[in-house]
Amino acid sequence: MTAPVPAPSVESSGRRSDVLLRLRRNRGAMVGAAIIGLIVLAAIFAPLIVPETPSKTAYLSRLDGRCCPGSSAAHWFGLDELGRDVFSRVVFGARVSLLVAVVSVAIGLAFGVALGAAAGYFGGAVDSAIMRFIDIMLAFPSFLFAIGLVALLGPGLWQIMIAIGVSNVPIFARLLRGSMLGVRQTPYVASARVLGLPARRVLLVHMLPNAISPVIVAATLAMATAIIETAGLGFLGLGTADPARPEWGVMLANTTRYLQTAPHLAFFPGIAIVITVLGFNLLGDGLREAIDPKLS
Amino acid sequence: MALLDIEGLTVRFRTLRGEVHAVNGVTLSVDEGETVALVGESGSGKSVTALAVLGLLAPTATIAAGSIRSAGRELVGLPGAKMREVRGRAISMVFQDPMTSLNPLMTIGAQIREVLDAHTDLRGRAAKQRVVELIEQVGIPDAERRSFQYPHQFSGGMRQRAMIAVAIACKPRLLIADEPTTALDVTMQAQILGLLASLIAEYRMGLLLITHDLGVVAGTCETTNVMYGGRIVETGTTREIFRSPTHPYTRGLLGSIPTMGGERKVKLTAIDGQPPVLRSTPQGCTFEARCANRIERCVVEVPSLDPVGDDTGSMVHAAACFNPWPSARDGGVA
Repeated sequence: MTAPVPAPSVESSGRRSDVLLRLRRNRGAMVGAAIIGLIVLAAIFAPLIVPETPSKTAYLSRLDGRCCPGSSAAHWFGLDELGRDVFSRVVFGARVSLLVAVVSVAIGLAFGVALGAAAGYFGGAVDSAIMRFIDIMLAFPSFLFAIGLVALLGPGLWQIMIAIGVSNVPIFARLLRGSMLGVRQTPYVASARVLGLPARRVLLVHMLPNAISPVIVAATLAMATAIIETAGLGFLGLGTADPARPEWGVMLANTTRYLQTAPHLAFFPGIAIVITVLGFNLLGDGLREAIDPKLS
Repeated sequence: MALLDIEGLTVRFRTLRGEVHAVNGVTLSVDEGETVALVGESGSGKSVTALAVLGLLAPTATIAAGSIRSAGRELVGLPGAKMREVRGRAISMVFQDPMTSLNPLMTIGAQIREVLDAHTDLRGRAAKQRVVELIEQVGIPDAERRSFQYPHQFSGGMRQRAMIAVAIACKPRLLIADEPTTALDVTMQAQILGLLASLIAEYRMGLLLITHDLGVVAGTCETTNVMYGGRIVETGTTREIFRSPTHPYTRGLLGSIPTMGGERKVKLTAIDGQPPVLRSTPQGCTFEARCANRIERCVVEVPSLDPVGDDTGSMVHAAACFNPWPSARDGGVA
């Protein structure tokens, strides 16, 4: 045998860290991450930030027959029709929105990944059966689907999270299935089989991690959609009725009657939704570019 | 007992336009320490033969006839779990493209490790040591550090070495190499072939080398099987086949290789036409349509693999042709 050729020395620890590196260089993604970070902090430390509990009403003493006072030193975002501090309610609203975003996407991922992985791994009849089911779910616009589910399950935070989560299932499942089909054809999967590795290992270690990237990106973007849909459900009167748990969509819905006289009531929760969604979208797009270097 | 004994292997694929007869009655064997070549152009059924050995044919394929024995054990019809014990342990395989044959998200060390996990009792420190040992053995310097690197940090040749390390991790008795050097540049090819040869010698493995490159065959294999249209059309010692090819297809293959320092005026000959798509059971010889030596019999009858010249049944050299070129043994011109 000839003498071995010295290997080029490359000092980097893998593809995952390359993705992180590209993500860190992406300005949009970093802005998005910063926005989400701030909102997460606000949600966690809400009781320390706000001047008063969001459910404290004082319409007799504060409103004085006028609806509704705008910004002041004591109440930065003004007061709503029941004399509640809007700033406190917007900050607390972040809790609900983030919770819904995370939990509903987690529900969607749990079922979507399981279905998509099964379809893409087994192929054939299993694939056909799963995908026809997914097609049926996709035939409904996802928001309509969520409205239907909430109407069925009744209003409440959990119901909303389940409804939005389930409406995400077909999207994740189809995305993963397509990507699994591609990965299934790769030589490294063939090679894993040739080497006699157990089927479970081929699926979980060789196929899934290589197929999951587009689903991660979609999940980030789905968090933004989940926030909008929660707000939408709240606006349609299908939101959380709990006054101690203010939600941006419900706040928007309650202000419609005062839009002429007190537009700030709609403005602040509206802006909160826009900024949060923007944050998730920026991060999701950045993630997509980082994972697929061909895009940048 | 041969490490691998394929007898009369027939593989069919169901397709929308009917059955495709990908492999028709292939018979070959590989002994301990022996290197056997399976040569042919794309679509001749070489890779399908290899996949059949490992029980990894596509679901649309069926083994219609024949037997595949590994050290006496019948592999055709072996249930999935038993077959998995054979794969990677008794028989292992190296693929063509080193750039995509390794999982991009796992370190080289982890990929060797998981084969050890699946087939041996080596764990912990012992397994780690064996990983480094294997990486060293395939000629990758700085083995310990390299074991923590990912495939994209390896060059093409180094990846093929790593792939070989994965394949031989459990000391398989038989290694199937499907075009192992095709994706590499020429200098790298020689190194990889040298590495394979030294590993065969060391482990007393058998090697089934699948290739379309007769240059690769000439330097490495003792026995050569030429495959065309799902059949073995000529078989024999590599020396015999190169010295006096008798099947028109083999001659065509050899005639299409440029030689260094040969006469300038010798033209490279191409084989006209396309390889057949084996839709229906072929009536005559599969090469008939492209053959210059065709006689009437070729169209109606399938030639069997018969000894060439004065070789009486020892199969030192056999060809499936009704009108072969004269063998050097017959005193003919080769």
